[in-house]
Amino acid sequence: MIASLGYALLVVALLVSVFSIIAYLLGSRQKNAGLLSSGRMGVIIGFALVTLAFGTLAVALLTHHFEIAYVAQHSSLELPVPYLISALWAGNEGSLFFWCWVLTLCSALVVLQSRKSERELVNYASIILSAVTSFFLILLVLVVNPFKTQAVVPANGAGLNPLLENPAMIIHPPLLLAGYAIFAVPFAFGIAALITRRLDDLWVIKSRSWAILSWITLGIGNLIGAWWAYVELGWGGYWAWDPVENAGLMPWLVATAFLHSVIMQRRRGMFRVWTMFLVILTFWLTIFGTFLTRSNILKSVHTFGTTGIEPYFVTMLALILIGGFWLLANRSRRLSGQNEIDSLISRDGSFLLNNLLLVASTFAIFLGTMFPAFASWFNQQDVSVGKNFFNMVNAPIFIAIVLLAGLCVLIGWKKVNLKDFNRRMLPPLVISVLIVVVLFIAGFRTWYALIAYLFCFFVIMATIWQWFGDLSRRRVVSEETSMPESAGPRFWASKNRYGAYIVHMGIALISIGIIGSSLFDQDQTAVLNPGNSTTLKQYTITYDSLDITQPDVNKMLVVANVSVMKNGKLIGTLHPQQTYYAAQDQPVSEVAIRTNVSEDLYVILSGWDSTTKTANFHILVNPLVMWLWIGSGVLLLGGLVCFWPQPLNTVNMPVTAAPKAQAPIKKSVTPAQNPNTDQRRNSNRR
Amino acid sequence: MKNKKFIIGGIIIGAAVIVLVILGLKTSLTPYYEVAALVSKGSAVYDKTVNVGGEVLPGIERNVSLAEIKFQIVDITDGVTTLNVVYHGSQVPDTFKEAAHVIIEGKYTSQGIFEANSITTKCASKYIPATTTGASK
Repeated sequence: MIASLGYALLVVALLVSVFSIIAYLLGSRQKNAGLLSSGRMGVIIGFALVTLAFGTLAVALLTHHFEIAYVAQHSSLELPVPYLISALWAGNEGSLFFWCWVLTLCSALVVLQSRKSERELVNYASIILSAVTSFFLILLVLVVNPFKTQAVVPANGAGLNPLLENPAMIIHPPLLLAGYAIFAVPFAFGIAALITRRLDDLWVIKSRSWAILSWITLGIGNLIGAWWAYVELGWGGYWAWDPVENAGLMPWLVATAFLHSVIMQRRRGMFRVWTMFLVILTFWLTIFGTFLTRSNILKSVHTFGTTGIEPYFVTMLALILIGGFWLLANRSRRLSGQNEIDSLISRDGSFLLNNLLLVASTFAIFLGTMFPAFASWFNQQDVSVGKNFFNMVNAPIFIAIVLLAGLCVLIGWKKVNLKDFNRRMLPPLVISVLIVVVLFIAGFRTWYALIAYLFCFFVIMATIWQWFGDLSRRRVVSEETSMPESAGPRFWASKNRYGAYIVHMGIALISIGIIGSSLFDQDQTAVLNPGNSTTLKQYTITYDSLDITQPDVNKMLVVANVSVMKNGKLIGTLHPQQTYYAAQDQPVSEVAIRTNVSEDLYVILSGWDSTTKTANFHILVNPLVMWLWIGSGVLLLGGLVCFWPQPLNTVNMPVTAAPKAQAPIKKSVTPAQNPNTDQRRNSNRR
Repeated sequence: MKNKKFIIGGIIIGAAVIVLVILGLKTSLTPYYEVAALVSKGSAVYDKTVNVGGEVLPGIERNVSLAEIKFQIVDITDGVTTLNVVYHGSQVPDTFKEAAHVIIEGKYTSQGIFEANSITTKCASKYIPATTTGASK
């Protein structure tokens, strides 16, 4: 009963979604306001229907309707409520369903937020969004029906894989999926702009908040995934260049390029074709990523297995690629920019470089991920690409990107006064060099790491330097321009720029963590009997005892008690453990991590003998990992500052302040510091 | 004129990345075999680093005092050809168990034993968001 209800809702939602497309198309052609408004209505009703359908699946999970195959496969009577909810996206059907639901939510918001003057663009964007929604609804109705029933109703479901029972399961998959889905909106606006030939900045203005939201969601989704892998999966690392991980990283990298390209387009009128190219590419990568996790094209992936969705996805991917780029090629003449890059050493130049590097890195990751598939299509011999390919190719690119993140903060738009630039670059550079010299004296001798660290410190110092410089310069300007006096409002008045600075600092901090943990990590496999100890770096690890208990019928808990000495002083005990779930025949390791700002001591119990109590440990010392998580927090903060709607009282300011301020500002600050140009960029109320 | 710098910059970066990609592939491409294919190659692949994929058979022997695991994998397609694998170390993914599909990196030796450097498991039709590889970073 509940299954038929859910399925019926999906079918009706599909019909409504298709109806919307037709109503919009006819309405636009015939200039029929009635049809257009029913198209709009359709989008909102479509959202309501998909929400109801998704709610139905949630109810089915919560009330254990095991006649539904999905419910039986992904939940059980014993599963706690949060994990019952997370079962909504634990499987293939559910995760596509969630994608679709977020998409309809975004579509409805786009319709509701549109103003009269933007209607034409929004109408076409809604057509694109409805088309993408229809694609997912077709999949859900025809191929991966989440409400599919089974004749034999089991007494209990299979439950969630115990390995997935982690709070991250509740937030990591939906963040990634939502990040993918949200990017459909900028794509829809881009395509709508191409179709309607409204190639001014309106589409990027409408897209901006969505793109930032998608970027934050994807970025944090990836980072939480990394954290999850690190604390839960017990192999001591956080990123393995697994195709599934790459699928989440690639659209994020291109979206980063897009966000920068948008700034170039809006401030300098350049990169218009490029911006459009990036929006199409990012969206293509989100669909590709969704597909990659579910396809059989790669051998070494954790996939959902064969599901018959391949032809649909391949068609969709081809449509986006061919349709999108055909439209772009067709309209490229109209898109040509008004300005040229005056000098490579300018903020323009740094944005251009950053864009090229981000796309190049994505290209390399794509190639590495897909190489085994390509090779098997053209060659008899299957191959696999090792992790060091990705590290080797991306390390120099990422280091260059980090350096640019610092440089671009210091240089102005257009042509740059080199003297001025050198003057501004000197203090942060000197401080960073000093720190690196101190590190060198302290015994860091890996040149690769030292250079990378120099860049990271440079970014942080440059940002802080620029920040204080800005604030003190602003005070001078403010006398004439009635700019707000106190730091808070001044921050908010240019919040996009400061938000971006914070993000850049976050990236530098993350880089410090990544470089430290990948270049200076040490590990050891130890076979220990109770009472024995082993030494790794300055740590002495003593294996004291092993406790084997049986908390319930299904569970066996094995806890090793380990005491840790650092430089001969007892600093604490660790309890690496493993829980064995009999029903699923699944061991789940619980890593013991002793973390601080300089390094993590990471101990895994990898084997034991229940009679002799001999145990195997994998022990790692991972330097600076905590900076990865701190940097992630900083990144999120900066992203949110950019995403936060402009406070109304500052939005209107440039209108009053600009005419008066024009002359003195030109004299006193370079364009990069011009508060009014920043204002113009920020004043896009959503 | 406007596009010139763009194109030159693009070409330089493109060329640099292609060089990096080629160098990277040269050092990190490893042949991949199913069990049957590897066994039939025999001495041709002895002592070369390869990846082999198969399904873990029942009877995993764990020797804790040596930190050693011995097991057999069977070819997924023919279900007959088996391969003896030995792994020394402590980086075994939690998902490594009977009937798991695994990809093992290591060397096939003239004794007919595959000496594994790392074990990666693949969970058929279960959503495992991140990898559970046993390899190092």
